[in-house]
Amino acid sequence: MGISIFSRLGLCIIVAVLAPIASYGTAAGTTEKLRIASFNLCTDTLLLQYADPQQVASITWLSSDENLSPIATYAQQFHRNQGRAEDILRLSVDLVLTGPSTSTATRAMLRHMHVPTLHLDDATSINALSINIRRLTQAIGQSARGKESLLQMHEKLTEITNTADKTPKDQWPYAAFLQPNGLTVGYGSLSNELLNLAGFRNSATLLGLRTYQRFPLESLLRAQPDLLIAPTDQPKYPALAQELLQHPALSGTMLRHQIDPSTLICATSRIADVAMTLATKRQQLVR
Amino acid sequence: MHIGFRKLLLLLAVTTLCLFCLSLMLPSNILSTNGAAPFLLLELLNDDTDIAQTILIELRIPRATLALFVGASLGLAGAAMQGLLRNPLAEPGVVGVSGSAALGATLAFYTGLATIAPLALPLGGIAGALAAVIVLFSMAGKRAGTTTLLLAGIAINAIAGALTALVLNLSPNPFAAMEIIFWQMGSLADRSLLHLQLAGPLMAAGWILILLAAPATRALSLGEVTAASLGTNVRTTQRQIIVGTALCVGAGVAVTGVIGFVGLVVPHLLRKLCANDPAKLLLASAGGGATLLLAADIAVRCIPVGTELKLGVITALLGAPFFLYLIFQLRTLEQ
Repeated sequence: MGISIFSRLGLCIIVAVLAPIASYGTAAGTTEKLRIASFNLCTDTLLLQYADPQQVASITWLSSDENLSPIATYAQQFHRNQGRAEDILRLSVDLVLTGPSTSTATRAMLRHMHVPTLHLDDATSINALSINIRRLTQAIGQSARGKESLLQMHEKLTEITNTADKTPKDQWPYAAFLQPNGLTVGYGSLSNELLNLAGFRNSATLLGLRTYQRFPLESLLRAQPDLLIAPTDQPKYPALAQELLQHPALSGTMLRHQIDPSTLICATSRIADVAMTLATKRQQLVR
Repeated sequence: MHIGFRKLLLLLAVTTLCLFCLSLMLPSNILSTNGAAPFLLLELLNDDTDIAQTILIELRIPRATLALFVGASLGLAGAAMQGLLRNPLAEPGVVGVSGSAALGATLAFYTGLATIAPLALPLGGIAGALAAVIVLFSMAGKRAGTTTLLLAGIAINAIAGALTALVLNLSPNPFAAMEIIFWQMGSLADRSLLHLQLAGPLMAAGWILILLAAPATRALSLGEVTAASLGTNVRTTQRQIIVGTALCVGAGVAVTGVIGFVGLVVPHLLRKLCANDPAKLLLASAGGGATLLLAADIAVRCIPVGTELKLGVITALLGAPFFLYLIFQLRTLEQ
């Protein structure tokens, strides 16, 4: 859902440049299926969703972590990389998918090795996600699959819009996202768009908080959103980041909605289901 | 300036109380209130008291009380270690006791042990602190000079810091590696009553042990042989101080991370006011430490920065120049 903290976090290097897309796709005409490697958790997720298993040459190690990836079990069988060019030297790869976490050095190395790359930035809106899916499926020669999946996603989203009650926006209930380290999401994020779609106002935007900004616990308590969307399960190996979400001050009056953290990290066509769940929550709240 | 010891204690108590109350009234960050800084006292008197109560009890009381407890612990431990090692530069942070405590606490926390048994967190910190104090004491017992003590401190800090980073990096949780700044710079933000319950009693036990040994520290400051001839049980006193320091520093660091220099600055400012009496200095340093840390935590919350400023930044900015000054002074003394 565009809250891909991990795509920044996991590899720790933020790249702001949009790489030119290597001229690609012409080879798709051949009957031989392309072999693709992915250097980013979110491109991993999309690749595994749309490519045939034999097309997947390598994905990042992050994808086999069930706390991060919704398809961790399926991901176990593939070759793992650490997002570095040398990791795929020995594999015969026709295309490398890179994301915001891929370092400039890695991308320069890939160019130097004459490996075609496709760069996808984190989707910050439903529209951007659709474009990402379209570009990726086209590049890997699975356009039909991409179209089918986008069609289904948009059908679900339209259904949510149609069934939403028509009360004016200033009467909508409030919701807020709280993620590890107390980070929240605001304007210009996919999560915010989904909240609005499901008929919620975002408490964070009301306070002028931006995406990836901390929602101070005191401000959150004062804002009292009707729904707090936060992962509540403590992971097997703890960190202070998740301990914060267990703070006793939050256990009081707010209605909490547990969301599997792995569905929040990367935007996929599954966002339609997340929006659906939120819309159902809203119906329960308003009733 | 000359004031009596009782007046000094009273002054410290009043300042601490005032700062404690101020800490309860201040939001976690003055920027986060978006202009209209809500005044908690008024809110508590209003109708809609539920939220104000939660904020007071679950967020502000743990924060202010931990500042008080940890500050007192660090001040007391600093004074006690300076007496024990007979060196004015011995401070939990400088000589690596706090760093080792952080290592013990990270081991207990990131392996998941503290999730199963929460008490493992402060106990891990205490074990780390105890190991460092014992190493330092066994070295200083052989009449080590300032240089040896400080070099040993550098070594212990380096080992503990590297191992802490290793523990964080080995954790499969991707957030862990970024939390090194909490353990090395310390923070009181968003601590809960649970942390206070875990560490508070253990810190208090440390204070009692050290303060029980206080009268004997007067004799001990004349040297071990003289102290023994005066009828002081030297071994027991030393053990009390070692265990007491480990309890104070270990339990404190386990819930707030390393906060440096408090134990250095406070005893030095108060030593003359206590007429160089080591027993009086212990008590006064506890009060002074609490005052300093409460003030530092208030400063952290009032400095308008976007992201959270760590507490150790303030104490280091205050304490490190002071540390340099002390080294210069010692140098001129030695020459």
